[in-house]
Amino acid sequence: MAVDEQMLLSAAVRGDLRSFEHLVRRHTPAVYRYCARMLPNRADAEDCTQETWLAAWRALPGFREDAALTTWLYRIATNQALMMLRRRRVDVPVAELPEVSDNGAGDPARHLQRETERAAVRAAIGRLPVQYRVPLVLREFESLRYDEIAGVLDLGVPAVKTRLHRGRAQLLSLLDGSSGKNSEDS
Amino acid sequence: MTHQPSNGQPSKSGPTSWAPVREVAADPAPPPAGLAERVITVLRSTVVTRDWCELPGGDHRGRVWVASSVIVDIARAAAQQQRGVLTLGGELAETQLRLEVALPYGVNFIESAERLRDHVGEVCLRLIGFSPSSVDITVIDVLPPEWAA
Repeated sequence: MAVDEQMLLSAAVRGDLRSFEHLVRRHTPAVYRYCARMLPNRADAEDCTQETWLAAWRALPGFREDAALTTWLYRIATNQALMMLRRRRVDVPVAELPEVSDNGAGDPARHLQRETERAAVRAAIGRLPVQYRVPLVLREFESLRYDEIAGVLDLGVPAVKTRLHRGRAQLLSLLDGSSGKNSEDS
Repeated sequence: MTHQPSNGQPSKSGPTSWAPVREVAADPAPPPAGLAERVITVLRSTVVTRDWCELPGGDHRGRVWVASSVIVDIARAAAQQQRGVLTLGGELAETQLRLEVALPYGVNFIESAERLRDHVGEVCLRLIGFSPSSVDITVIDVLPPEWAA
């Protein structure tokens, strides 16, 4: 953790809201990105980001300063996202998925294919059971190490690896199903 | 298909590759403009509600609330500790503190305001575990030079 971040965090733990606001500005992009990958649409991701920071402020007095801020934030964001999913029992409607960058510019057919593939990935992730979705998003999308994921989820590293293995297999299976469906549709 | 999940294990053989997953993972998914500031606004309104401010550290055993007027009084007293400063008024809006002061003729107003701001923030943090997000200082009067002594 950078020195200035450690100072901001220490001040925030002591109740300095101004320091906490610096952390909010600095880490909101990462928190939002994670929420956007866990939840079905932007509005939910925004709500989840806000609830994560409010929960983080309330939980600050219990923050161990030797802990990693990002791991702690991922843990809070995960809890908030899961609460939202439980409350709403939502699936991922493809039509509401976030827009993606245009990497297939210049070749409309290729572009359409890539967009379709990406939409299928997001929809498949939304259909994964949460016990697989969370570690998979943390590993494949947020690039956390196994031990960091274990810290976020309060699991052992072997359990994380097992869930990742099953999650990847299930994701590929779902993608196989969607690509087969697309082929039949076309 | 040669793409692999990040664990280095070969991807499942079959028509599906890991490449679209990697493409989605590479998408930065930037937050909507102004999201952090909106969060901060909500945060401030949650931390300070109307005339009361919830202090950090509350848990299942209970919470501590302080009237905004008390925070203003603390800030005024802290400002008064600074040599030559006469505090004439104060107001807390959300977490933003506004002080009205008089300073002696001859002192540098900008430096005095800076010292005042730092001191008030430190005292508030030490006494109530809460520091105003900003301390605006309005100099509304000039005192005779001997006040600086």
